[in-house]
Amino acid sequence: MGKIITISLVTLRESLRNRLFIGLLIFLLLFFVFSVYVSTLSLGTVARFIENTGMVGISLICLAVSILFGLFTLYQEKERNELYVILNRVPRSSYLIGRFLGTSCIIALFALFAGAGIFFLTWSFGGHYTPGLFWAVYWAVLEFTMLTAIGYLYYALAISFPLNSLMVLCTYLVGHSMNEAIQSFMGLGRFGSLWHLYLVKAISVLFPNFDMFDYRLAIVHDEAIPWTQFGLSTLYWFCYLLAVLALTSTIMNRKDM
Amino acid sequence: MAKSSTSTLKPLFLAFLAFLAAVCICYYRTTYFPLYLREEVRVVPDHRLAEILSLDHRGFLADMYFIQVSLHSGSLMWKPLKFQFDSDWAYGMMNVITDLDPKFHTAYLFSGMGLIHGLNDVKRARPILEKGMAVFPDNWELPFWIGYDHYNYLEDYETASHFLWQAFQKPNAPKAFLSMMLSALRESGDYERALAAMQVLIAGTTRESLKSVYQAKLIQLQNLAHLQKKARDFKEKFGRWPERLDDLAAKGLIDKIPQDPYGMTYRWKPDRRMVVMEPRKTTP
Repeated sequence: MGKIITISLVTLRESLRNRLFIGLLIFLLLFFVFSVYVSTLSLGTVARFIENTGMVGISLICLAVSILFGLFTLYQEKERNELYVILNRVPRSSYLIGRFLGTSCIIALFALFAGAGIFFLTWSFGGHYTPGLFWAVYWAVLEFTMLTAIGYLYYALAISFPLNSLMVLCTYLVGHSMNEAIQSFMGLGRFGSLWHLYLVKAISVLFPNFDMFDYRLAIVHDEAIPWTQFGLSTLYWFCYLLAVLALTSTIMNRKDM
Repeated sequence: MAKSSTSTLKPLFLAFLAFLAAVCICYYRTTYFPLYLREEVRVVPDHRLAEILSLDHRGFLADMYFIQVSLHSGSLMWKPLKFQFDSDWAYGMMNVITDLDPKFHTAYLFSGMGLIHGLNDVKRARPILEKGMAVFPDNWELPFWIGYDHYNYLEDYETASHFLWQAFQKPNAPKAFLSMMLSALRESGDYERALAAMQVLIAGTTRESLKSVYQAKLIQLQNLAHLQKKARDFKEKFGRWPERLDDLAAKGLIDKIPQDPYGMTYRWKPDRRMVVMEPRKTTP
């Protein structure tokens, strides 16, 4: 456990020292400016526009953090041959989980920055007090930690960084289209075969379903999220994450480095 | 030291010259090859495709589409006359926007307010506002705007009075549109509801002079409602509508045609099957 914490702290410290950190913060600030600019075209619904644009900002920044901090540094470590030195002292699974926890902290940090910024902008420009925005931070952390874990799985499968990034992006796109895919097949009505529907449903269950963390409209409209849905989504995240990390550890342990 | 400062200044000067040249080229380009306004490519996306494209940021995509529609509608003010409002596209987009975010209240309102550029737009706005009414059953503004548009643009008083009455029934509905609703109800021959609305208007008035005017109008509406009811009784009893109001008195349904407080005359309009009031004809 101590080794996991040490590696996660090292990951966190390295990320904070990284120039990318400042770059992403500047990107975030520019996105804040963009959200305020967009809100001027809103015909009186400033708060709503800042919230919606801000939530896109949270997603973009977390996606960038997942790929740049979560994956890129992992490959960098391998390239510099630092990985082999670490793996001589630390079990592979501890290394993996430590790195994952460190990246998750950075994701949470950025999401929190973004969430607090949008909260402040919504308050000052839109005159709307929306503490519910911090739920958007929570769901973003769940979504992008899961995506990072999937990136780690691709890493364990010895996939190169460019391909890994591309596959992570594809996973993100597919994970957000699951409900629409099922609805489309159901929309076929009598023309759609039942087997097709089962196939789509099976795929939607096997693939990460990021629609489970989509409560954005509820947040914008200040609606309470039912506790059952909250619990189910969090439980889904926990189980799926556990499964992916366990699988990744197993593959890493069996791999000939 | 001097050499070093010269070597720093030289590239800076070069950079300045290059930048100046770029600015001049840009100015020349925009002056001699001006940009012309062109018709935008306007496509109404399928709502499911839009949902997929939004990557679960449906609110954001709805906002972006909303900006596109509001800019198209608003920018006509300063665009050359050849640019026309594309109603089919705009209302198609509003449909997609409200599919993406069914609780986008401003989008529904905008369909019935800012997007009305022609008489046919009132008909296009109605299904969108009705969609909003299903989402916001307690909201008075959505039925109000259907009523308002039908009253002002189409002069369809029957539809207007139907929706204005619905708006009037909603909680927190203001009394500011009572006069318009009264007018629509009277024009459509719904005198009983008009009476109820007039009583609310009187109850909310503190000025005595206005109250006396409203009282006279209340009597007028009572007369009209009474005559309309008797005409319906006539239809029930004899299987046909009366041809004139005197028929009601002739068949014993009323004693006489009541006196109007403003000296108007009441007349039966067979084509509309309702009692109307008209100014009394004066002999020259």
